[in-house]
Amino acid sequence: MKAIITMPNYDDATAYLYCYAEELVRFAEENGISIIQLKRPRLRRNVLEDSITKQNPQLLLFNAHGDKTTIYGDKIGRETEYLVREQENHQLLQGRLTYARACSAAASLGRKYTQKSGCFIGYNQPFSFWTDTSRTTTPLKDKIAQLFLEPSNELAIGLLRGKSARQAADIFVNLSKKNILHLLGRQDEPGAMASAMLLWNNMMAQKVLGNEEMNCT
Amino acid sequence: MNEKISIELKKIVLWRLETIPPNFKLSVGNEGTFTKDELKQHIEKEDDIGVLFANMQLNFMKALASGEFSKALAE
Repeated sequence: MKAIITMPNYDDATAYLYCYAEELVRFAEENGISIIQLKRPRLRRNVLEDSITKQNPQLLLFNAHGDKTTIYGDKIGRETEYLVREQENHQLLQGRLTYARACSAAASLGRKYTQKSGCFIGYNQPFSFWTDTSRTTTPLKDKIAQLFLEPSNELAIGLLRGKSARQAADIFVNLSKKNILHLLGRQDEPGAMASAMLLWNNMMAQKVLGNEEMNCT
Repeated sequence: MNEKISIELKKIVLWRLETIPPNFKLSVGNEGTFTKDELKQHIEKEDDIGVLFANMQLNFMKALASGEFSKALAE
């Protein structure tokens, strides 16, 4: 299996995603999976396009900001460069299995490219999470953020293990449910219901578009 | 987003925010990260962030009331 992972790190949200993406890279390397890491200064659209064209990866893991039509990469000066955008270069994704841990990209971009082939797992609303302000310098020790980011990491690990898109997406849903049930058992604790509320919204926003049986081997 | 937050929903969302510990910060993708006090301001202003957060709360309350939440957890 060949995979590409994008790893921006220029604000609070991407700093958290970066640390969790490093866990995915570690998993891939320990399991002999060829994974191309795109991080600054190589996190550029032209590098992504070249890497996809030349390396032909089956699996694309995007950790990024996004919107309905776009997945973003690094911040270059004051602008955030787009990596994949509908009507610009969305054909890059065709025939591949993509997981976009990014806001809203399943709303339109995901639908557009899976009309022909491939599969896109993403969110049709903002992917949101609470963080603990006392842990922002050590994201992996942030137990609040872990409630949200661990299910999404386990989804990606499922894909790296060769599970189908549907099976991997179900891992996210089941772990999110488990975390909600855990929080409901502590609903008197401040913030528990606020976390359950966000987990629910992320769960409902997750979409699997295209060939749900697709996997990478 | 042009929609606004109803008075009733705004009261509920602001009340819910009171229950959130001060060390909680919300990360909402491109929009940024927001402390509890910043979220309150966005809700009062009824701007995009305020509307987004209010709608998340509304979706959750609807799911609780309709039984969709319990059904999903039981599946």
